[in-house]
Amino acid sequence: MHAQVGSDRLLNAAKEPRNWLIYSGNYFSNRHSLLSQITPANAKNLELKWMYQAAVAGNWQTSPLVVDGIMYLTQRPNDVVALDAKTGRVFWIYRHRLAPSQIVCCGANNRGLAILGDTLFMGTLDAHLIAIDARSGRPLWNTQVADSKAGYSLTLAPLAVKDKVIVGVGGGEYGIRGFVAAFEARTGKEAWRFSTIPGPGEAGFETWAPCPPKTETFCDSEAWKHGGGSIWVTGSFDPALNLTYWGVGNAGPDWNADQRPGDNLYTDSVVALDADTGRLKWHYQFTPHDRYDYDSVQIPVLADLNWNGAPLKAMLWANRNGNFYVLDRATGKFLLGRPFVKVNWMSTFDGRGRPIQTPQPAGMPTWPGNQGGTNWYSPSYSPHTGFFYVPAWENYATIFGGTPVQYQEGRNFGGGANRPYVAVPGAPSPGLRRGPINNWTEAAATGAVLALDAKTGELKWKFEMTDVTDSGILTTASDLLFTGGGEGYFQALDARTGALLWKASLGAQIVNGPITYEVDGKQYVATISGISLCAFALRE
Amino acid sequence: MRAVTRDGKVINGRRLNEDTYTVQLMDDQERLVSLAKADLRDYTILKTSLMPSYKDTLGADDLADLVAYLLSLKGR
Repeated sequence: MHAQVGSDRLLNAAKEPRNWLIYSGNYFSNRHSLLSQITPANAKNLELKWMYQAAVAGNWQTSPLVVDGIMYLTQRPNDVVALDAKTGRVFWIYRHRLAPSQIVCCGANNRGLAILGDTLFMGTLDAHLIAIDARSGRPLWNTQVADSKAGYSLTLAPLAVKDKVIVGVGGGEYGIRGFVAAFEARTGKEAWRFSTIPGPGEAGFETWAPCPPKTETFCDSEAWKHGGGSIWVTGSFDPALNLTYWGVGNAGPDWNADQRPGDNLYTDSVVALDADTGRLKWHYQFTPHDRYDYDSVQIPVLADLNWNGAPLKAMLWANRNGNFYVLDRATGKFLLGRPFVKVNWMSTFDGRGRPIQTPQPAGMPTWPGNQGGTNWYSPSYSPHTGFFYVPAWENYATIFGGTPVQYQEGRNFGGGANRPYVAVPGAPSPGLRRGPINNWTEAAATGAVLALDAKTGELKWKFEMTDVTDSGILTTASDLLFTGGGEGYFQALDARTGALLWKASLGAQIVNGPITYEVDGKQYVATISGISLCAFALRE
Repeated sequence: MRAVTRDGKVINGRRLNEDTYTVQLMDDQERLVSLAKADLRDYTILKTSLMPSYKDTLGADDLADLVAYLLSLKGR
């Protein structure tokens, strides 16, 4: 059995590459491993070592943890599985009994676990946070975080920081009022909460502007009460600054911005919170007054850079809105913004990093389209190459439109009247799921892995894919990059050049973030295709 | 689509499925063919149909009769 995963181990997770202790690999969330047994020279010798098949079909988005030879993961809808990371054989399964019905926008998703001590933590579709003994699978405590009947859910992997577990709530498509909350790891008692939608008297409330006295379009005078601001993916933590960073989702309703005047803070923002109190230290809003569903629900990647000759505590962000950003993670200062895909919803940034928006005329396409230039799936940063790697959708646009919608608890609150932008009216276009036949063409969208210079956003290389990709990216110290995609290929690329080194055809969409770990001196790389968790290692 | 293999064989057909590395089609003999893109010298999505044109064979009345017949067909 493994040694306890104390907070010290989590602080130094990057230096313990044989294990995968945090959702994104480490608190800086770069999904980069120091393991180097698998190299560009020998990657062609990778072979499947074992498979684990989930019992429930559907997009399996979990990113496993590995602790001293034991793999912990979630499977649909809200199970926790402990298995032998060397053979894939199961030790135990914990099954959370969900409430009779859940209101979720995008499927029975769960992206993974946190671990602290000997305790695992899982968020659930019915908005609970559950602590589970990692040795036995026995539940230890179960806290209701929010009301699932109102559309709240937890689909992200929690983040364990010091003696607390931090989560955020999903459900922005149902008019929630989002928040980030920390719970005492030992008891499940709520320690602090930060509302992503400020209320009266709170800083930022002025950005939920009052409705004009006379208006021809519907305006919601209480828009803030159901303003959205979901937290869909796990945040990051800088122990030196004692700040935890979280990407905030779109405003509600998603597409009818006219009924919620103002910038609508803190939607489509990154927020930096004091890890002990949850107090807001700074924010940066990527897309003010969003009318495109450009959730800022990407993983905040932290990197220490040399910036114009001086050390910089940086935050790197490839946003759904199609721009790559560099921010100062100590202050939130905007340092760089540069498109990584075609962008026409804005033209440029002002001196403070505010986008100059250029909404397109009705009926005309906006780039990027609704799913964005990228989305929730994990990017990676390699301190070795200096490149930031983005799973991207290219050549993808939407004809956006909004329609008034009244809030009603538990009902969809999207307010959308969008159309895909395709070459021929009625032609298929990419979405969140597809079967084994690609029934949309390159005219609708294509996928790519983009390698960007982390300091300039300049494209260094591109690995093009026919179909779009919802797969995360993993990089290693031996300059390997692993990623999947919509076609079901799991690929190893040379992280310096993008050259394809190896691939395996696994037969179904890969929509999780790959991980790597070591057991008994052998390095494994694991991914999920369809309902199959696959672990690869070098041939003997 | 039109594909040319490395040994010069030309394959014309209707694309059924495609990914980054392979393409699946029904060729002009109605055979199912799966090709690896790495084995192709050339690969083109055609902008014009492979079906021969009936422009010089059917007059306007013939075409109208044909369309009327097709519209009259109903499924069982």
